[in-house]
Amino acid sequence: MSSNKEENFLQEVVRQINFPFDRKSIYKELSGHIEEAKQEYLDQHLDVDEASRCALDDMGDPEEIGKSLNKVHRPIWGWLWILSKYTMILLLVSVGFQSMTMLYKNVEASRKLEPYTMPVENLFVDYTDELEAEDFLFDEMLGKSVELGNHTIIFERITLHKNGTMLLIYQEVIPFRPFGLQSTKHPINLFLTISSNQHDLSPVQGGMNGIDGYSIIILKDVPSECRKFILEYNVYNEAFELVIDVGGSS
Amino acid sequence: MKRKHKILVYLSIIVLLITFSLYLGDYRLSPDRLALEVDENIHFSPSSIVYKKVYPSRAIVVTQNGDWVTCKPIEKTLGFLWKFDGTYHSPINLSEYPEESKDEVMKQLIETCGWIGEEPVFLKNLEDRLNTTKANFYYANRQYATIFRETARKPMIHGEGGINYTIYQEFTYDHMVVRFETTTDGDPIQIFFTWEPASSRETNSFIWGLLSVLYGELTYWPVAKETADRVNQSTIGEYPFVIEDAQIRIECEDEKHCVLIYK
Repeated sequence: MSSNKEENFLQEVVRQINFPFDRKSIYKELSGHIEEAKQEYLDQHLDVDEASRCALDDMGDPEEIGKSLNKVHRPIWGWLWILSKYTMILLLVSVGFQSMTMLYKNVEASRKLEPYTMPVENLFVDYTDELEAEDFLFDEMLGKSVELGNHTIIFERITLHKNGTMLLIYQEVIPFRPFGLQSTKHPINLFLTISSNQHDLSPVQGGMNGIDGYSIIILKDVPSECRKFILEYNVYNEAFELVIDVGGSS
Repeated sequence: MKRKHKILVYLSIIVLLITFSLYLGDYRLSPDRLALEVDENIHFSPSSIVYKKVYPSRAIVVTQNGDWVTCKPIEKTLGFLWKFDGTYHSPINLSEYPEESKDEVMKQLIETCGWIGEEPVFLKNLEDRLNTTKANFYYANRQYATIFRETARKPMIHGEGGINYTIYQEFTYDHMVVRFETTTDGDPIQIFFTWEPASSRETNSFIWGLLSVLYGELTYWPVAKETADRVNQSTIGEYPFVIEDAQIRIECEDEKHCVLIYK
């Protein structure tokens, strides 16, 4: 156990250290040296007080020791060390959070969804009467995919209500890219042309909805006899053509 | 490891993290690189740059992919980084135009593109100028939202049959309102500004800040420096006043109500 003299000696040394975060470690280290020296004197059969006094004498002048230690532990480097360390930690946390958020978002965007099997009745937002199964002229799962650039467009479902409103439900699978500017979806609702039996069935402008990651193209006034649809898209030199034959093969 | 070495390691990691964070935030070192990267992401590639003009605070880049051309204003931030704010001119198919009108189409594209996103630049620069004159105004900025609030944006029909109409856009903060009117193509028509200044000195600062931004920074809200100087000289307690040149007319009814009209 340190005597008062040892404590005073150590306090005098650390008082000379300008960088406060180093004082504790210097105190501990010097305290260890004093204890070792004291133990040697105790082994030579000196009593405790005598051993402590001799050990402190061996250490030298506490002020001088403190000053020379202060030269080694310069505050400028100490503060820079602390500052850079905690800035780095803060940045690590912040950038880590930022990249995890982005990564999660991008994984979600590139995830292929299960086919859309939910009831389509509630998608007919402008239809006020209760819809019955017989109100639909057809409602067919498609699962037809086309490649557009490095995206995959999967046409999931087509349904025609007897009021002439047709819904074409599709999903666009975006390739996974962990970071950087993210690929947007193709403007299919704006540029897709659909024809059937000589009828031009261009999608309703602004009539595109999205639900749970699916996109829905809305067409109005579709003749009830239409069963074969030709979808064409050609924008900025990317194109596809797809034939959908309801009730048959394409 | 010695403390100096540790500092060096930490600082290197900090630089790497900041660089990565800026990359995640879609900041790039070159407007060209960014424009091409944006093209790739809007499925407009492979594209090449056919026109570029760099202004102090942003660049306008026109890219072409086959017969299609599009234009993007790209903003400069922190003095050396470039950021795309997501607004671009919808691609135009040049093959739909006769050969003799293609130059005109390109010219219009560049002009319209110059206007896209100009009002935040306008207000940002206005704020900078006003700050230097110690006037107490702030700015609207879509990206960093927003001390100024956009309180209205709607078409206003003028004339018979709704042939001509303008876009009306208004920003408000506290005691100041700035209202822009443009054509649907983005051509400027007029800016109204009203405010309740604390002093005539503040009014002078505001008008001077406004005009110096108009003649100094913006491409499509041009005001001659001479006109700005004349307005500045006229705002020392002299109301109402009218100043005009070949391009604009500025009318100040009193210290609180001014309108700037494009001819």
